[in-house]
Parts: sequence; C-alpha cells; structure tokens
Amino acid sequence: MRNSPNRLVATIFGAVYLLVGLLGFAVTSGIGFAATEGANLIIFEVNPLHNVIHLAIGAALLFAGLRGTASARTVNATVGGVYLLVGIVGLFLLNSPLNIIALNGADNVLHLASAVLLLGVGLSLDKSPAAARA
Amino acid sequence: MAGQRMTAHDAAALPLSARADRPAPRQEVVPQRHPSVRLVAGFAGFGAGSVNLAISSSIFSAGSGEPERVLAGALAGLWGAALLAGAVVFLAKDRPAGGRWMRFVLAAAAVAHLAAIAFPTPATSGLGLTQLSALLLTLMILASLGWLRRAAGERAAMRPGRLLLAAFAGALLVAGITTPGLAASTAGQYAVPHGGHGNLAPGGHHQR
Repeated sequence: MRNSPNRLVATIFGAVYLLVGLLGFAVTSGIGFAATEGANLIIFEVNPLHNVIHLAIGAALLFAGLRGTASARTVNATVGGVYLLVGIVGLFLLNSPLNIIALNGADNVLHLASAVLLLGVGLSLDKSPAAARA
Repeated sequence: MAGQRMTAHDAAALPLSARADRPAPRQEVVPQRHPSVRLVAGFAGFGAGSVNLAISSSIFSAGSGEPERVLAGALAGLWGAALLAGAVVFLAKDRPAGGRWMRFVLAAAAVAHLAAIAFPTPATSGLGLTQLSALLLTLMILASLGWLRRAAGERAAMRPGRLLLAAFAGALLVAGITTPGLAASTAGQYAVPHGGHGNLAPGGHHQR
C-alpha cells in the first residue's frame, strides 16, 4: 500500500471522513435529520444527513484503499468527479440545494481541495500495470 | 510478427493456446515526469474551468439578451468546459490537450481576464475578484506547463508520501484561489452552505 499514492490517499481520506462522520453524531444530537441549522464540528457545519454522507464516502474510500490499487483509483476518481460535477451543476442552478460549492468558507476550501485531489490522483497516478498490482 | 515486439493488442488477438506458448509482452514502466507539478497543473485546470463557468453563469443570470452579453457568456462557458475537459485529458493521457498551441491559447485567455479586470464592461462588471481568480489559475497552468517543458527528459522520482503532501498543498492552494472567485460570482450569492439547505434566498441567514 505504501507504494501506491491512490491507496494511500483513499485510506487516509476514508479514515478521516469516517472519523468526521462518527464524531458528527456526537455534536448533532437533537438536530433534525436534514435540519437547515446544523452544528459545528471544528470547521464543518454538519447535520445527521451530512454525517451519513461522510460515513458513506469514508467507508467507500477506506474499503477501496484497503482492497487494491485499481479499486482505489476508481473510487478516488468517482468521488472527486461526482463532487466537482455537483459543484459545477450548482453554478447554473442558482436557486437550488445543488448550489453548494461557491461559498467562501474554510470548509468549502477543504471540500474543493479534497475533490480536485481525489480526482487528480485517481486520473493521473498508478496507471502502469505494475503499479495497479501494488 | 516474428522479429517484432508483440503489443498487448496483438497478444489479445491470439488464440488461448498460442498465448500460453508465447512469453507475456514486456510492459515497460516509465516513471512520470515531475508528477507533483503535473498534478498542480491539472488541479489549476479544474479550478480555472470552474471559475470560468461561474463567470458564464453570472453573465447569463444578469438577464437581458443583448448579443454581446450572450457572446461573452457563451465564450466563458465554452472556455470553462474546454479547461475542465483539457485537465481530464492532461491527467489521464500525460500530455496537454491541444498540443503546443495550448500555451498561446492560455496566454490569450490570461490577457482577456486581465482586460476584463482593467476595463470592465456592463457584461463583466462586478466580477473583478472572479476574473482575478481565473487569471491567477490560468497563470498557474502556464507556469506548470512551462516547468514541465523545461524539465523534459528529467525523471524526478518522488516517494508516494511526499508526492501526496505536495499534491495536497497544491490542491489547497488551488482551492484557496478558486473558492473566493466562485463566492464572488452570482452563484456565490445564492449558494447553500453545509447544513443550510432550504435557506435559498439571497440575504438569508448564511449569506455573505
């Protein structure tokens, strides 16, 4: 695993997303499932729906990172691509809940950074057959 | 095919029995040139594409179908989509989309962003910060591609851990330039924050 950037990034991001998802439930007790007013977890404003999304993304990334390089590449590129696509679609559906990317907050910077990192690493690295078996 | 190297395609076309008799084609593993710089160029492409699409969305949402406004919005939208597609091709195929002409097109785009900041028109007024963000990201792509061109032939091997740290720093830099640019666009005024879905009107609780 230590020789594959895709497996490393999937495992690390998966563990962090899982942790954020689990810790999120500790700060969102009493908050509606998709409440419009969430609770702050360090810099992430979360509600139970976001916790579930963080858990699902974290589980997918961690599973793929532990399974193998090909799985990690696919899941990294898919998660990063979907996140970026949702953000871009949101730019044109102004009055829509899909419009989530364009806010000048620290959490949005981190979300965009993780999206481009996952997509870039998934598309660009571990492409040789030898690396795919790592 | 005797005397020639067998390609993976040739091997796949052989019957199973013949494939078993022949040695598997040797796959040469070629390390990528400066993978961290390549990643930063791709990240900047994603960022610049997103910001150009935000410029397009802002121009179209300002209303009135004047021809110059429609043209400016369509150009920004097409250029944004081309940058996103180009970044995907660049990262996936290890070569810049558009070949050597790409740097001239990128330089022209940088000049256009600079002109939009210096001489705002009704179509581009109020988008100064978004244009500045697009300009910085375009220059970042140009600088990264220039670095890769000058370093052609060098193989800079990097340990995966260090490569990821460099890539994460690059991704944070690109996101740090892109996010304020997106936030300054019209989409940023309507954006729904994390935990704030349902509060859609501009000027709501979470709005800037």
